Amino acid sequence: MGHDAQLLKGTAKLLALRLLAREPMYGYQMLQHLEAQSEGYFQLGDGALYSLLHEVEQEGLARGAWAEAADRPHRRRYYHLTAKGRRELAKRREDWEGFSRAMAMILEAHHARV
Amino acid sequence: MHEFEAYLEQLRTGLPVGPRRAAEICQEVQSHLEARLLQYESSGLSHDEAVAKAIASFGDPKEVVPMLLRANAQHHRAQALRSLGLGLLLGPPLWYLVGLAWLMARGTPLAQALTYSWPEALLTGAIFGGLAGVAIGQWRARLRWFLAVVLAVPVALLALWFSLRLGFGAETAMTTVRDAAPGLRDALVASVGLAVTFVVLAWAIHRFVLRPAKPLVPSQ
Repeated sequence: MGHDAQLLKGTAKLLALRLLAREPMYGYQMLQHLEAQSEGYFQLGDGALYSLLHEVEQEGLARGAWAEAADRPHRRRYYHLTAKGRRELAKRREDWEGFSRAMAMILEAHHARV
Repeated sequence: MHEFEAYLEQLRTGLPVGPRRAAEICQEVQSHLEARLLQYESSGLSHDEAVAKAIASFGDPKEVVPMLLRANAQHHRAQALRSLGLGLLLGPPLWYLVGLAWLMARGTPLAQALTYSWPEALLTGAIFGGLAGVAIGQWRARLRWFLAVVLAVPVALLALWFSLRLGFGAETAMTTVRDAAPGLRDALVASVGLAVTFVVLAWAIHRFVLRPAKPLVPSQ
């Protein structure tokens, strides 16, 4: 990870829910998207992602379903965001935006004074 | 792929979440590892290097298993309840048979052995069966707790026996043992026999009922 691991840990669920809101995805695909879209900034551990997905599934925010893969002999487990997951995403996104705005205000004010 | 079997087996044996769920998790991890393998091979790594890197990317089982276990707590709890239920179901009848065998081994005719008051013994069986079930359901995750339960049984029975001998106890299920084993040596034998029964029951549930899950997808 190229940054504070604790910071990512606190936001990983929001990132996962956001990815799943676009389309159902399987774990490996999510890691690829996360890394590509953040230009390599977010590199969640492989094992940690699956723990997160199982947690999200247990909380009813996503639902896992096996599907055949056209290019491979084995099936993949796709995660679909549930209605509860969409509400949770909206709430977390709002929280994050509030947090981010407040942080920016503090940092910019500090920056202006210095 | 067999390259990942040892790794998957480590995950599987560390996850007391029920055979079906454990197999499902392993299948998902296997699918992921294979995708990583292809990615690393296409980036120029040799097959062995790619296998090692794919496994390293997923993480040390000592770190991954606790994370997965926390994330699958519901399955873990369900497995513990299933084990408890099986123990409660199997414990009393097995205990009854052990009691009969014990009395008959000491020369009591079957007809007379059957006249003993068994409800208390069946209750004892339910207690030990329940303990065995819970221990078996958890032992892969909490081996020390499992061993503690197993070792606690003879100690607890000895304490019970002494309390009965000293007149502190009322008529209980262990009255049968007290009557049948009037000396300290016999009491020790009875307790060891009880502990062995407990372990055999625990082993049987583990071996035949909660056997390790097989992967849903056969290795290539």
